[in-house]
Amino acid sequence: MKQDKLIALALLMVAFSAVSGLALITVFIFKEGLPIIVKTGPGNFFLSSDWDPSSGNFGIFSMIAGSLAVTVCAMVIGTVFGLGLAIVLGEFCPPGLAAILKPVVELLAGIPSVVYGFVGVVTIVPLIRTYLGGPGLSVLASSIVLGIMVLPTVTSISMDALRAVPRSYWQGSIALGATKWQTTHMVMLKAAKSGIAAAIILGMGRAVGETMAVIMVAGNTLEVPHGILDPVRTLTSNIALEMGYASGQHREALFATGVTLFVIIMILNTVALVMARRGAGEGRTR
Amino acid sequence: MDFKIQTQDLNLTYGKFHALKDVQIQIKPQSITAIIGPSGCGKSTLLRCFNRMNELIKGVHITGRIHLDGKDIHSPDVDLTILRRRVGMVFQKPNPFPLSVFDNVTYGLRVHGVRRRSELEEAVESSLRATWLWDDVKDKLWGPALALSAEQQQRLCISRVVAVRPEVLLMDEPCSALDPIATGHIEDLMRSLADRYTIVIVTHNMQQAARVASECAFMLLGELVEFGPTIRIFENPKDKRTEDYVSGHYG
Ligand SMILES: Nc1ncnc2c1ncn2[C@@H]1O[C@H](COP(=O)(O)OP(=O)(O)OP(=O)(O)O)[C@@H](O)[C@H]1O
Ligand SMILES: [Mg+2]
Repeated sequence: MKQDKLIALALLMVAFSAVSGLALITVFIFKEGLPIIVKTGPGNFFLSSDWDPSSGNFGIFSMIAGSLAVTVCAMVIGTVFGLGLAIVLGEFCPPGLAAILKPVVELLAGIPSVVYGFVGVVTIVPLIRTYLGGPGLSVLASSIVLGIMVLPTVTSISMDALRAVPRSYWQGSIALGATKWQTTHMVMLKAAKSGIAAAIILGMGRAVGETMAVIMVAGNTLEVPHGILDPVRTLTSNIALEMGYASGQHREALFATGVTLFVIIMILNTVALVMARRGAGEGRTR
Repeated sequence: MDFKIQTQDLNLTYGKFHALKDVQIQIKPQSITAIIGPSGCGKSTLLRCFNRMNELIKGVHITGRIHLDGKDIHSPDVDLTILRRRVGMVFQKPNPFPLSVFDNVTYGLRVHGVRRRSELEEAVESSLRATWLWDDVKDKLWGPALALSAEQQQRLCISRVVAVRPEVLLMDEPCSALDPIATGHIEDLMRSLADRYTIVIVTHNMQQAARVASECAFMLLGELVEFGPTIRIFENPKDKRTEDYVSGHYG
């Protein structure tokens, strides 16, 4: 009995220190980043594209636009292929093959992002430069690399969502004369929609936060992109590129960039969580 | 007389397991035929043969013939989607799709390419009326089907099948998830549907078989032991095993 209490206490302390560590990091980022936002004025900080630390101009709009452009395009690619793969693996290919392929896809998540970036630089970037024009380092290149990187997340979670749909729906549909494909898009995808939405949003969180691979293929110029062949700089890249030599206000502005990212990702994760909860709730009604 | 469904030397194996053994059954049109027998004797398996749902299970092997209106349902020119439209199925556990009531009823029609709004609306009303559900749900057509009661859900599943104008209704223990009152309602419904459809019902409940079915088949360990008018099966069984079962000697 006494031992149980001791163990419980020890575990509580471990949990507490982990949580308080996270809390401290959060407080630290906000403490370092918020003052400069207030000083520059949120309007200037978020809506101006003039980022020139040496003359004290800190506007991150071009990077917000860059992150947005890259993330949206990456999610289009990641969703089309990731969800497609989930459907094929979950509904159409023999279960034995799916049992092998799913872990393989999940393994892709374990490859370090610098490797993705490197592969992007040596294959995708030159291909874009040769066949589509522009510098090659671009929104498109980053989106393709990120799209592949989020594939495991999107595929794996959507597959789980599809698998959690009661088999009786599938049988009911087939028994009415529906083909497998009709059953998939008219019943299964609808029944799994909140889980799939959660998959996409979690993938999106990964895409927004990814840094290394994007730095390698995005070009990192400080301009609002006008097309998918233009180079961009994302919020994450900005921090990673300049942190090494930044000091004073410049350093604070980078923390403020971090705050912006933090808030974006918190929002995405919360939405994903709510979606997943709602999905689980729907499953429970019989 | 012409039978609606007729099987000849029907054998089915799940891998090595012999689940149906030389089953010969003749099902009369516009009547209710009950299949009874202890758990695991192959009732559901036999039922799934009639709309070829067994083919979705891995390792199933079927030999022998099944005729629907005198035509072999395994012949290569049979279109499976059309077969399953002609031979509809209602499951043990109500399984409405997580869609609206309207979308559930029109599902089969949409699957078969019907898009005209007026046609879909008509089908919804007439199918829901046929299953006596219309008055209960006419104000909730766009509400979620999963919000209905278990009995209403099962009736919705029957409406969903009725909407595609089938000829045969296969029902696999359609009342086993329902309370006795709801069961009574579904049984009344079955009797009212029997003048338009050929109904084959699997049931564990012998009183239910006696109440609704004009013909009754008793199965044991994959064999069709005895088949005939319900009254005769219950009152004057020819086979000792049937007698034991209907007099309650088996589970
Ligand atoms: N997919 C399957 N794979 C292997 N064996 C199966 C499969 N489905 C059923 N069986 C076996 O076939 C036999 C008949 O099964 P079936 O479901 O047709 O019985 P049933 O008479 O409907 O039983 P119950 O009254 O419990 O529903 C059982 O012994 C069962 O174990
Ligand atoms: Mg059964």
